[in-house]
Amino acid sequence: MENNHVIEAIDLSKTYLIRKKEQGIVGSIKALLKNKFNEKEAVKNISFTIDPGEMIGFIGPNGAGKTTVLKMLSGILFPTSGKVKVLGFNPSDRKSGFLKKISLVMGQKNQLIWDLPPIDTFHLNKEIYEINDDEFDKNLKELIRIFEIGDILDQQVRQLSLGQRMKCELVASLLHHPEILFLDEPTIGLDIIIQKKIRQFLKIVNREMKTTIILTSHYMDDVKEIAERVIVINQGSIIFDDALKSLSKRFANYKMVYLTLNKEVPKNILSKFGHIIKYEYPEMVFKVSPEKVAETTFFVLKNLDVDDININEPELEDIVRALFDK
Amino acid sequence: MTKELGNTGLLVIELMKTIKKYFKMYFLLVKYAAAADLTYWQNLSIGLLVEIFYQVAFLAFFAVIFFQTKSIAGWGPFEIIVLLGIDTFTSELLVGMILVNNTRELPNKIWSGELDRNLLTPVNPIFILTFGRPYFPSFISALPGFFLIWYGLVKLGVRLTVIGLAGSMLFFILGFILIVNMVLDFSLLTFFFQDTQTLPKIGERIAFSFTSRPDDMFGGFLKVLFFFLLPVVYVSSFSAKALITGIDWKYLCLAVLLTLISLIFTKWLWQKAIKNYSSASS
Ligand SMILES: Nc1ncnc2c1ncn2[C@@H]1O[C@H](COP(=O)(O)OP(=O)(O)O)[C@@H](O)[C@H]1O
Ligand SMILES: [Mg+2]
Repeated sequence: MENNHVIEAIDLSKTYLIRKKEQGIVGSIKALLKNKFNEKEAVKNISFTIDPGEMIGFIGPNGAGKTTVLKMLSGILFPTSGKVKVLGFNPSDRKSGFLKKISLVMGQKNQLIWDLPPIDTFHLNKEIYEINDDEFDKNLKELIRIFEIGDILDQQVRQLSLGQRMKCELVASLLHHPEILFLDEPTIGLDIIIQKKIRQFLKIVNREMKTTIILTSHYMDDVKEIAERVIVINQGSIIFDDALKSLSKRFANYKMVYLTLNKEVPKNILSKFGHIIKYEYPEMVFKVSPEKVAETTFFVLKNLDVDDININEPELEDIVRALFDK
Repeated sequence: MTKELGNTGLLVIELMKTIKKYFKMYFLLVKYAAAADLTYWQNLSIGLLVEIFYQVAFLAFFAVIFFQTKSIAGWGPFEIIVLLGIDTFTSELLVGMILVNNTRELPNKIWSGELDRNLLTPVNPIFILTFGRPYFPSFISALPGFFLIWYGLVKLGVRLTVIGLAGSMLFFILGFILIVNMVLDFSLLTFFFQDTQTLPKIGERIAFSFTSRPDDMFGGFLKVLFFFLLPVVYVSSFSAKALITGIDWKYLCLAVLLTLISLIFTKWLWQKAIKNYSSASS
């Protein structure tokens, strides 16, 4: 098999068996003996390949199966069926040769030692990943520069802000120069400015360290800014896998019209032109197909008392939401 | 032939490297635990006080017994003191190395998803689950154990021999591994029974309640139970005997055998458990 993919997934599925919960230890022994399960098909026959150096966004609503995919790719979970190869390894074997080439960061889950400064966690990782002294010094210096954490290295982790902690978290997971970095909702809970910063840092990491980055998110912003390719997943299936640009081309065959009105009008007055998304006087938003834009504008300006009108490309957010609603 | 030798040589070097890696890692873990605890020295002192209180209360309990009787299962007061000295080590090290932040926390780790991270570090996950977070105060409160052992031996007029000392240490190490495996096995059952914090506690209770007992106390069914199935007698009782009266070779061999079996069993259980593991939904 000709193969320069770093990741190759074929017909990958994961079904969780959820043991029916019963109270207490007696209950759980009973449940164990009865072997009663609920099944939950979290990921259904998905296939994709990823090449070295790519930066990919997995997006989808909550419960779509994004985290489950990452857990199978990183080796935490055995797939129920299908095949997956990551860097030539079968991830769930969790060979140390494999684990030394990847990293998984889950937003809000901490690997930093809480009561000590981040530099101590870095040193522990040096031992865990068997990084030699020179390489460690070099990598650490590089990462301190990229993530701008020089001034917080010696502060107790518990005293750091969420954003600072995430930066250190990322540094800790990159010290061994993994070939693949898996990120599960890395910007969750961070304020907008830090989110933006983190995205920039990740771009630098991808560019300078040649790390393949795979990130899940339900924030479109994450994906919009850094991923060149998106995989949209919904209810366990991939519904789109292509360049970010073609996402809007493929699915956004409409324009958004934003109105600010001076006088209230009946809701259905514009319904023959397009679909009203939001109407909370004085704001009105609706979508119209491109060929109807001129007609609509004309009608609006002639018949309604408008303070302001704007015609825009749809937000990626809306495109994706529309996809999920189908 | 030479190639064979070369391979074995390589294997040994590999093994030494691995052992060195784990020792180095463990040293760092203890150092960091100490550093973290020292930043909260009030907590540290309270932790120490609690541990020492337990020890004193325990000694007092035996003192009361010796008011009533001259010996327990053939063990006189100073022999018991040696036993208790060793058991101070056993229980404090068990608490500090294994229990507090590790096996006891396994249900939480499963529930919170922390286990996921443990699985993804290139270190034996059983090592992390068992030793990953030492609790430092117990390392200090193990030290009075030395005093008890010394005091008991002096009072008994025992002259230490190298062999006796080596045998005692061997019993201690094997016995300790056996207890750790037992406690860990109970914790691992959490994977199959999910809820509750009960399982890790059962293992702990057994360890705490019985390692301090002279092995001669157990007969009949209890002997089968505590010598073979839940092998708690080797760590303190037999290592005390090795110091005082000499090594019981028969039981030393048995301890070696049981240790091997328990290591294999734990590994098997772990593999079953992890096959069953479906991670936390987050
Ligand atoms: N450990 C688990 N046990 C049972 N069901 C799970 C588990 N983890 C996730 N699920 C279920 O599988 C589906 C996919 O979850 P997940 O992969 O976490 O989605 P996402 O990350 O896209 O929000 C959800 O319906 C979720 O409830
Ligand atoms: Mg998720």
